[in-house]
Amino acid sequence: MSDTDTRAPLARTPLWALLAGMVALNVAGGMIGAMLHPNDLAGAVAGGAVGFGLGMLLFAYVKNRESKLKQAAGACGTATPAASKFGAAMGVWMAIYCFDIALISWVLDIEAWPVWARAIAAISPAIPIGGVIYALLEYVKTEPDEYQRLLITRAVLIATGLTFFVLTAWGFLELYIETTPRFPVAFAMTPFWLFFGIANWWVRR
Amino acid sequence: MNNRLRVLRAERNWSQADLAERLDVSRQSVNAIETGKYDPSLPLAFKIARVFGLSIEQIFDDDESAARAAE
Repeated sequence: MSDTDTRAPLARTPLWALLAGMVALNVAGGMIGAMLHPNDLAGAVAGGAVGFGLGMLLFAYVKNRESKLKQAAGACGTATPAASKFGAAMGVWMAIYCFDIALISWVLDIEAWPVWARAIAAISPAIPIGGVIYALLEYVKTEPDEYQRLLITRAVLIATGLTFFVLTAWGFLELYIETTPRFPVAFAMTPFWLFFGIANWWVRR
Repeated sequence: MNNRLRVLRAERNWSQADLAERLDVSRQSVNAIETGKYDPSLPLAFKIARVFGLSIEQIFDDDESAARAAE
């Protein structure tokens, strides 16, 4: 910054520390789950999911704090308050997603429920996914930096295209090559995020 | 589209981050405009012109105007 600029650089939480905290919560959740249900792998998986959800809440808290600090001090750096706000919203929605999956898969006995209630429980993980997509759209709408808007839109388009391409190819492989392992369509968002991460790096390289 | 952003910035001894702060955009955006990877929108071009106290034409010139000048 120049000598005349009185705005202080924003003190950001280092990414490595945030990721380490998230992984620690994930592992701790899995270990607690394994201790509570020592003879059942589902205990560790459920604990891991809850731990991952807590990690996403930590991510949301840090990003929300960053967003508020940036708004108060004036944005300084690549990530704008809108980007941090998106990060926070994504963290909250992904935490809800993890807790919901843990709830309907390992906590509640939904097998005993009537079909309509089971159907509601089954589609409930899609709601937080919709929330994440909405947060992404809001980010694209509110990001003040037009070049960043262009980059994020490009990354989303590339990720969506690659997800459709790979899942279509995989689906037809499943149809015509019997030995192809089944891909659980319920987790279609996972390859999207994977491709989004790669595309986001690609467009900014 | 060609631009004189790098030269104008250097004349004022501003870093890319300094200019980004003044324009309220990311440093990455300034770099993309300087290297010709991205052409700014009209509102941003006006903002850039205001920051340097020049007209848009004094900062940016498209290939057509460059070709006309060469004739």
